[in-house]
Amino acid sequence: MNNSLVTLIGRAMFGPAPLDHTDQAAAIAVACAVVLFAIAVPFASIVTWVERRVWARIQSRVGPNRVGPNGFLQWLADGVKHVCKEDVIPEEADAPLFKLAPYLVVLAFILPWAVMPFSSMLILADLNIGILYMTAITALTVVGVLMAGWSSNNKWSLIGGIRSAAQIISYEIPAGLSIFPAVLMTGTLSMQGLIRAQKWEPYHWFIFANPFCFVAAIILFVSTLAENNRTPFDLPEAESELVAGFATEYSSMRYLFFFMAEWGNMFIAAAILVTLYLGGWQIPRFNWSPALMNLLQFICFLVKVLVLVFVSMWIRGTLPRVRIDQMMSICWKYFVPIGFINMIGTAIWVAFFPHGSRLMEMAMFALALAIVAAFAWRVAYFTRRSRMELYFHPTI
Amino acid sequence: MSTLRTEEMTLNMGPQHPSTHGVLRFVIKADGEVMREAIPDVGYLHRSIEKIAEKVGYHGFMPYTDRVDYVCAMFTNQGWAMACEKLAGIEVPRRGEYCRVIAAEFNRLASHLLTVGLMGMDIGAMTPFLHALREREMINDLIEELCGARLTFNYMRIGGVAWDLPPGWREKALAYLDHLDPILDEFNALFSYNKICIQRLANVAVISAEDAINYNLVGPNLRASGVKWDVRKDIPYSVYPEFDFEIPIGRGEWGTTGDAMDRYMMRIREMVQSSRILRQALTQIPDGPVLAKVVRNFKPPAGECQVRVESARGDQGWYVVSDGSSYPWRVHVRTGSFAAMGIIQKLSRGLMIADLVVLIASLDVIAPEIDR
Amino acid sequence: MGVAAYFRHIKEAVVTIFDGMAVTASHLIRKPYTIQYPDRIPARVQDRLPFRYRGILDVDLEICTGCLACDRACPIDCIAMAIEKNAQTREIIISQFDIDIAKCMYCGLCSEPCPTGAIHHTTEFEGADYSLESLIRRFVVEPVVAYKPKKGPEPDPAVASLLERGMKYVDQWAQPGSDKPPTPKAASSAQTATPQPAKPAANPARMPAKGAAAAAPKPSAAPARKGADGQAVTQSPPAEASVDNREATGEAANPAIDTAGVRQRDKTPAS
Repeated sequence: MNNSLVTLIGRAMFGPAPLDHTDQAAAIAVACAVVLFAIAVPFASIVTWVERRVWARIQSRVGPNRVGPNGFLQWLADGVKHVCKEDVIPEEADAPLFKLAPYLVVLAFILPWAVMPFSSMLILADLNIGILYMTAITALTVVGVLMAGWSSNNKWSLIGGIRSAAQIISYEIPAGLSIFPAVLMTGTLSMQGLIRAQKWEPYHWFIFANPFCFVAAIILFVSTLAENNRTPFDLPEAESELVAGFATEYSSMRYLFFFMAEWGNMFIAAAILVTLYLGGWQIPRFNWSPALMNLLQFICFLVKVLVLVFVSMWIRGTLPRVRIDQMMSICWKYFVPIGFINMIGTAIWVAFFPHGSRLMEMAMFALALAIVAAFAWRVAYFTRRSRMELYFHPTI
Repeated sequence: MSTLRTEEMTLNMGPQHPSTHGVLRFVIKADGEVMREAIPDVGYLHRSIEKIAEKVGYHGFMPYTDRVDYVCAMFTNQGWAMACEKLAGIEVPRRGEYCRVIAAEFNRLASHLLTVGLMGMDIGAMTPFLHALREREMINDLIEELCGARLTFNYMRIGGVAWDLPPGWREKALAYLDHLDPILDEFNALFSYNKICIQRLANVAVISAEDAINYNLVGPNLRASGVKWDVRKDIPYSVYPEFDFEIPIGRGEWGTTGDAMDRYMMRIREMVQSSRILRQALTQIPDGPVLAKVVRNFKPPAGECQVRVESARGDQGWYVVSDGSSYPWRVHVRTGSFAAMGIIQKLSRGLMIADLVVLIASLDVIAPEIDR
Repeated sequence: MGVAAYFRHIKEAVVTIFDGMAVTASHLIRKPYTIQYPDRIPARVQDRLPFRYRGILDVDLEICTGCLACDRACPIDCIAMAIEKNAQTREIIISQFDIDIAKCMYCGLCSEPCPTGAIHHTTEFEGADYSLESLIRRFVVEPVVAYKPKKGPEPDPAVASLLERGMKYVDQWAQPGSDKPPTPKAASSAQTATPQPAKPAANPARMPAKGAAAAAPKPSAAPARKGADGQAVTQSPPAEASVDNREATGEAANPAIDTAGVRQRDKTPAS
């Protein structure tokens, strides 16, 4: 046991921990886990507040604004409320599985934080298979969700659980295929290695390296939406079809666990994309103290991730839900073939341009800017066209 | 390997399911995600409104008609008023008829906005729903100013309407219509023309023209199948012949004629037409009284009559039998939603569970109108 | 599915989602439409509801003629009235006037036939209570003599102001067969499509009527008057605040409501 722990920890290249003291290393690992848990859980909760505010504004509402400044403490109030509620376990439910399922989901949400590259030094374990570990661990969610759906002994829950299993397993494939282009260009699976291969300038991010990477990044983003059961792929908990899907019978803290994991997974999904394609924590080099540099890198990483999290909230506020067969056909007919093309295309690209093509990078960056500009023009068009001053109750 | 034993799953959708639009129940026989059959079970919202009419008299029944179809109560108001007027041979002043048409068409807008919004919610997009409800709130504000209530209007009376248009209301209503048209375009860009929406609605639950007629569908559901039938044009009532408007019919641009997308787009197109009628009505409205002289103790001569109103949910029939006393002897309402429920069982075969939600939303059934 | 259709699907999906996202993004920079109902609003909702709003019923016993028209009109018998006739003085004594708010369906059929507007809907709508019993509004504490319409103008100023408000309420209803416009001409002529901050509004009810009570509509709001009189705006009972604040079209409605009190306070001494 001890030996295997030593081997496991030894492989994981802890930054601060001396490797010859297993006990210390284990203690540090536990401490780090606790700290991460203390970061991850409030983060996932605060995201609920952000989401509700963003969603509300999209829908011409105000959103929660009573608890704390601008409703900022709403997540705390919700958490306390959920903890205080009665924990109902249906009589016909398979109680042990029913109780176990939320913990598995939370496990799948907590474990990936171990390889989260917050900055050049701030990483718990820079595994040399970091990105592989990440994709493997996040897929654990499916076990919890399927377990919840089955053990609830409710037909709606069961349909939700099965939909979830089908969905998460299917979308693992395009997500995996979309990771390959970045891996092909760097030749490493380590999170830090992937980031170090990119530079801080936006046109040196991998997303602009070539057209295949651009498409791969988009597919990766959409696939992670599907893996996290986010709109437009929220079929497992489709409230207008399946009441609440696999979480129908859950209440109290267990229900909270599911949704904390969902929102926390948004962060993880965004972090994967930022690491692979959006330059990670890369900031311009200054001759400042390492602590300050790490702080700036951390902020940079966080901002990028939060922007992506915001986009996924925004998508949730826009799109309807796809049907189960369409969800499958999007995956197998569109994303998987295109994912293979991306992989092969990048491989050929790397063969021809081992150090990347400056011209293509600039062209792709210009294309992205053009898309953003076109988007801004559409936004301005819709804002001008609708005469919102006609609202009869313009009081807030 | 021997074949796996599989069995059908019987699912109970409703009466407290989030997407059954009130208190409806469906017994679904499903094979995984695919339905073998969905059997509708109605009657959870029966309040015996027709029987109440026999006890409260002609004037007193008017507020009850609001409850027949609370989403578009103006049409039930109008149907009842028209039936009583036909029984007693009362002529409504022209300004009264205009007020009725204006109120009813605004109500049609409100009802269709709710329908298209609910379609958004039923296929998982909250935002279109709330945008549609936002527009509906503005119409409710207008109607509230007109008649003092937002849902159960009780605006019409036998012989006309209870209130004239308030001062300044006409301009406000026209300003609202100017606001609505770009909002409809925006709504289309947000939701109707969205690829996911089209994929979810097109070619789902196709009703052929023959089926639509055989199953007695009315209103937008019938027109979406390509049958051009609108009571406002074909059996004109009130002052509708004085307006220039079109009857949109389903053409199947996105899939097959008569699919859910056609039924959905029918509402959007009818809103455009309603807006057209309203503009004309608001500019043409004549001066004069709005209410004919009707005695308080209204006793129509013995006889029976039947009137038809094109409600937001289609051809609404009011059948009244009078025995000459101050209470009607029998009242019957024929509503579009009840007929639409009949076709669900046939259409549901082979659909997915998610499509049943689309089917219900596209037929625009309103539970109180089914059961009355 | 052909190759062309394959790529058309991708193109359509990208373009329409792009457009939809632009719509929602444009809403991120627009104002919310909802209001923060009970507390975070500039004026009470009750004060901003239109005059015709059918809220909880109220009875001004001072001008009730005891004609029982409302009792007869109510389709659900939620009004319980008892009157006695004094044979000598030919006066009508109202000994009971109860309205069961729990039963009432706010249809307005009772206030329609009222000759003086004594029974009328207020803009009050918050009726929650702890028991059904307390929802029965008893308006007659001890038997009162019913109001008798006078030949000339009403001498008692308190009753006159009530009657004025009552008649204004009655005037809102369509008169069978009459060509009479429901409100004074001045009010309708001033209404245009352009926003009008100072608009002709309803006469404030129950305000101390000093001669000009029945004159042309004043550009004022009841709370503004109250403010000018030095009383707290929020203390005005709902029945007094039956003012249509939403007649102004467009966004000017909001500034009009926010500043009406201030602006009116400046003007009142001059007029």
